[in-house]
This record gives sequence, structure tokens and C-alpha cells, in this order.
Amino acid sequence: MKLKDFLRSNSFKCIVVLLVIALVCGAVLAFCNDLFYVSDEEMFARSIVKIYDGDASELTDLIESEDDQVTYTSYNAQAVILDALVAADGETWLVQSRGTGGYQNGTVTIWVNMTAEGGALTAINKVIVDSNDGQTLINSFDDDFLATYSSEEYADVVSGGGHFTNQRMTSDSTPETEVVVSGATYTSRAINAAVNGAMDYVRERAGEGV
Amino acid sequence: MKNKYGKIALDGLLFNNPTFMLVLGTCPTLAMTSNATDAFGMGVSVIFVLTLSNIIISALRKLIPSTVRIPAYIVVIATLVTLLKLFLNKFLPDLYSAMGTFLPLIVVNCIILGRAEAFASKNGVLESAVDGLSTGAGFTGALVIMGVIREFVGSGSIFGLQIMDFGIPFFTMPMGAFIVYGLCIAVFVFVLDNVQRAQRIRKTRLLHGAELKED
Repeated sequence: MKLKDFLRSNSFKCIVVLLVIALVCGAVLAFCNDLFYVSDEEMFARSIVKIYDGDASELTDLIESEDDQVTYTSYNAQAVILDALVAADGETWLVQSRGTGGYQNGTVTIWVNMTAEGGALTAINKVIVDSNDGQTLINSFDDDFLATYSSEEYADVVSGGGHFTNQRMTSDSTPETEVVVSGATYTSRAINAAVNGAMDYVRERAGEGV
Repeated sequence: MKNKYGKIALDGLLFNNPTFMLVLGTCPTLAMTSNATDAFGMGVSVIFVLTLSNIIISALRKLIPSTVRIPAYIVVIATLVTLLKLFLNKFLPDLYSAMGTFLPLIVVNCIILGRAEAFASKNGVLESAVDGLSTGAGFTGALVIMGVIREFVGSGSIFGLQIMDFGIPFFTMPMGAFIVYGLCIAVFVFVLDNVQRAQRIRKTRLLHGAELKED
């Protein structure tokens, strides 16, 4: 086939049409990506508004780089502490924790607002889901469910050095520590791991007198 | 002309309702109807993508060679879904988080590709826009109906507003979704069938009446 024939062929037309569509779509996406870009600072501000009522500028950041991030393990799942903030009074702690072991090995990142008094963790005030990776049933973990962690029912688990788990994932759990959404056990495990990691971090750091 | 658009709209909303009559887009239907708010969010997202993809594909239908039409449609649909994703992440982050994996999956929603292939590639821009809007509205309506039922029976609330303290959590779970979906299809088909039968009887009577007058 000569070049002239190729340029007149249907194959060439197909290539040109697909290329033009791809280029136009790419240009539109590039423009909109800049237009709708959400910076890390904006993401952080969104989360803080949901988890903390006070003035965020008065909080001290304890994790300033990835080197400061720590990992905790509980019931065959890990939690990476991504960020930790403490109020000037040293009692209010905000911890961003990513739990592993979710559905299809995905993760769930949460923020936990906690109170520590006298160098010991005393209460969980609030838990919110920040983001998730491939957890199709994350909708089941609504505010009512997340309020379980801060309920009176589990106050002893928090202040007594305990951890949360679910019976389907481990034989070590007891009814006193079981927090699970039926049908979403893997995501429950990731969220439990993240909460446990956040509690362990505050127990450790508050104990050190931070 | 008015009848033509009315027929397209009625087809999308009722007679060819993508969810209850054609059983298309089942994956988001089952996953996003555990509460009415998320169901509505998913429905509106599909209306946006479906209407715009129908308009663009209809406008380009004479330029796109038939051999590469499917990849071309997919690129257009994927672009629109990505735009929607960027927009939701910026302005409606809660809905963006709630939709999770199902937002990018709109790209492969068979309602959208189905309407592009079956309607937009063969009809004008205005007809395709009406088809996209009505089919999307039909999908949204179906999702909201299921979302309201599941949320009310499952957790006693509607659109997040607590109506009663009693709830059967089974209905907010996947098994409950299948049961509610099946029941909704049965009721929808039953009602539509009866309406169509009544219309046929009325037409026949009118026809017979006209014949008797002629006699």
C-alpha cells in the first residue's frame, strides 16, 4: 500500500479520529485537574473541621515528616500513624491513623479525637473516616456506628488499655471489645486496627509526657 | 414533534426504565441504595454523564468510523466521569467519599454505553439529550425508591431524617438489596403491565365503538 492510499484509507481515518478525541479529552482533563485541584492543606483543613471544635492553629503537630510515622500491630492488622496533633493543654489529641487488612487488602484512614489525662488515655471523643482505598461497604460505617467507639459501653476498653476487634477475624476477641459491621468484617478490621493504633500512639506518647 | 420527545421521555422513565425493566446498571443499584441520599447522588451523577455523553456522541456520530466507535465512546465517557470525580472531590467531598469505588465504575455502567450505542449513535443531538435526561431520571427514580425503602425499613430514617427507632439492619445489607430489588421489579412490572393493558382495552373499545357507529 502506498502512502497516498494509506492516507485515504479507513484505517488512517480511525487513527486520526481516536487521536483527536484522546487529545481533546486529555486537554480538557488537564485544565479541569488544575481547576479542581484539592491541595493537602485543604484536605487537612476539611478533616480538622469535622474532628475538632477548637482553633486548629493552636494545635502542635507531632509528626512533621514520614520518618516520624510509626506502625502498631493489633489482631493481625497494622495501623500507620500518619499525623498527630496535640492541644496546648496536652489533654486533647487528634490522631490520623491508617488501618490495613481491609477488603481486598485495602486500607481505611481515620481521624480520632481523644483525651489523655495524667499521662494516660482516658477517652475517645470522636472518630471519623477520612478516606479509604477500595472499601465498597464504607457507607455502612456511618456516624452512628463510629460513635460506638466513644460510647459509655466501651469506656473501660479505652481507659483500661484494651483494643477493639471482631470475633470473625480472631479468636482472641471478647464481647467487651467487639465492634463490627455484619457483612463488612474486613473493613471493620481495618477501622478497628486504625482506632487501636491511634489509642496505642496516645498511650505511648502521653505516657512519655508529651 | 412534541409526541416524539414525549415518547422518548416516557420510554426512558417508564417503559424502558433501565433499572426495573431492562435490569441494567445492577451493580451501583445494589451497592448505592443502602440510603436514599447516596442513591440520589449516584442517580444525579449518572444523569450528568449520560446526558453529556449522549449529546457528544450524537454530535460526533458522523465523524466516528463504526469500527472504532466503542473505544471512542469509552474515551468520551471516561473523560466525563473523571470530570465529575474532580468536581465532586472539590465541592461535595462527603458524597465523593460515600460513592467510593462506584464513582469510577460509572465508566463501565452498561446504561451509559448502551444508550450511546443504541440511541445516541443513531439520532440527533436534541433527541439524544432528551433520551439521556429521561433514562438518567428513570435510573435515579428507581435508585431513590429503593434507597427510601431500604433506609426506612433498615434503619428507620428517610434521607437521614429519623422517622422511627425501629429498623431491620438486614435491609441495609447486600442480601436485603437483592430482595428489595426483586420486589420493586415485580411491583413496577405489575403496575406498568396493568396500565398498558387498560390502555389497550380502551383503544379497542374506542375502535369497536367507531365501527359500530359506522354500521
